Amino acid sequence: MNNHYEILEHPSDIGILAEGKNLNEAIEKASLGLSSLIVDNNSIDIKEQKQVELSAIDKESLIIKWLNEILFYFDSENFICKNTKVNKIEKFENNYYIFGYFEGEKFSIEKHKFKIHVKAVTYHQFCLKETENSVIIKVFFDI
Amino acid sequence: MLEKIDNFKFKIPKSFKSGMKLDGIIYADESLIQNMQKDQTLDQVANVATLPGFLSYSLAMPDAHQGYGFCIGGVAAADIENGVVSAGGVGFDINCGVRLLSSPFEEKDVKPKIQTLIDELFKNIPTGTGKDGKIKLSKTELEDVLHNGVKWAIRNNFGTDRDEEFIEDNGLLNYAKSSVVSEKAIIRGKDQLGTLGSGNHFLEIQVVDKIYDEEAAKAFGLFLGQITVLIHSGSRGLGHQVCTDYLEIMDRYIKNNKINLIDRQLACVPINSLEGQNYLSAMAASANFAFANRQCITHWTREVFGRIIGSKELKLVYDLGHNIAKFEEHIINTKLRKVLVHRKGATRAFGRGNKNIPSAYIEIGQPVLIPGSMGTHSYVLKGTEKAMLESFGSSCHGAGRAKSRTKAKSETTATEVLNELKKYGVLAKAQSKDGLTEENPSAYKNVDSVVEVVHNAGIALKVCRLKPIGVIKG
Repeated sequence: MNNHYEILEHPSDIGILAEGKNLNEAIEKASLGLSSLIVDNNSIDIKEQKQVELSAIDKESLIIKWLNEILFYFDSENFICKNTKVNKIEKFENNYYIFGYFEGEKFSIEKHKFKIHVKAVTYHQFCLKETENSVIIKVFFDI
Repeated sequence: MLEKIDNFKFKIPKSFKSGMKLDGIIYADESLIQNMQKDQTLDQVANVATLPGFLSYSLAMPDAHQGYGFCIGGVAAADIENGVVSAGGVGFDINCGVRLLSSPFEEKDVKPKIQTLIDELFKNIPTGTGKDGKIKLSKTELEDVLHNGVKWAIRNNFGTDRDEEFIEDNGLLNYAKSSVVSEKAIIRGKDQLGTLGSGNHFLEIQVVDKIYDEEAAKAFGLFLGQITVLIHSGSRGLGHQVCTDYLEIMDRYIKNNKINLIDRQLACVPINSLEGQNYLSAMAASANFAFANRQCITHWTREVFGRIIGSKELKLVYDLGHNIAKFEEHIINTKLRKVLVHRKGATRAFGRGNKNIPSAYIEIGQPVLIPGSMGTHSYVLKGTEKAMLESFGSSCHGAGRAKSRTKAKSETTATEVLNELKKYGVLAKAQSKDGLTEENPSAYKNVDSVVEVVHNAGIALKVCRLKPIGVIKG
């Protein structure tokens, strides 16, 4: 795997395999993989930041929610993400919480090379593997 | 292991996988079943059979391929008293579907102007990328769409009263409630009404090039050499968000009730639970959005035809959804029962005499619309009484993917795809290059063999074939 992420084949959709030194970094790389499916990442400048705070019942669904938030911002605010930053993930009582931000700009059909709409993030074959020195996320998207 | 029932049907017996409560039945020929064995299709059919409260069998249509949770092409019917509803069994693009419009024109009237027609359709029908939607709704207006479906569109001059009659459920599921649709889904949907989307969504200009059943074709208003328009789109971001939201709610229910599921994407809740009822009301709201969406696209198509070809007269032949769960009555073990039929990438195919189909088609059966891939034929079939008896009144929904997107993309370029389509006599225009390469005709199964299977199995019968001459894509 390169420094970022790997595209995974699926009979009808597309997946991402992302590896990081820790969970935060693995999520950031999976996010980069997802946003790069939608537009050419090199064409995005950083002009805006979106603060993101989410909660879920476990780490798996927390990651899925975070990735879904990228799709939500694209549809709702026309915002495309160049980078994401995960500041903190914590467990409180029965829930997990994630805090961070997305940075990017408003999508423009003239400026950015649009690739494809990603409909949603799925639990299908989802895998989170945490070891001492590395975290791997495997996730598939509905196209 | 897999058992062959006849030339067009295979059985996955309960012994295939532990926990299966029902057999799986797959409609396929030898070659299609071999392809399904290369991915997880059969496993996914078996997984559905492990869910509580489903009846008779877990089905897969000949276009089935690996999905997430349910396979694409999966059909299953839940008992409404003891069964479950699964958001994954409907899919993210709720009520994604197709509608066919018939014109009074022949190929010779349209072919000379096809370039202008395609350019104008492309200009006038937004794909929904980058806020190019033409309809901007307030929250209250969007709620009106969610509660009234196609009636909203007709009231706002996007269609005629006749249109309503030729849509599955008359373009309105009356148990929709916008109050159970999240704020996020509302925000995603409010600028997306009347947008095509990308992926496999398209609008195609076609010619009727073969008639198999004169009587049915006549009843559907179709004749040889006629120009038709096929529109394939769904509920856009609104539906995707509703599915995402309820997958989380269902996932939480499964965890809180300590239920073991074979696949997390199959998260489901009892139909009679609050969560189940809320999902069905939100699903219905999304379905209504999709009906209205296809209606708005139809309106602009008619306008463009009026300007370029000289007449707006495009009649709605039929509009049906292929990602939906529906309350229907079916015979289960010789008794008529009310069930919730999940169709994930499968269409309804009700036979003649059924009270749910338009009166003009009551002697024939409902039209079953099967889009091919870009550059290949599409088909119109009719639903049958046999489908009512053995497939919960269901049939296939398309060609079904044969190659992954990454593989399809790596094997060709957008220019090559355009040239190849041109060779077949198809003019294509797409917003994104990936939209062309990932959806190139070789990425799909042969639609002809998929249609042959449902025809020979008798769950839908061929009426006519449509050849594309122009296509626009997101």
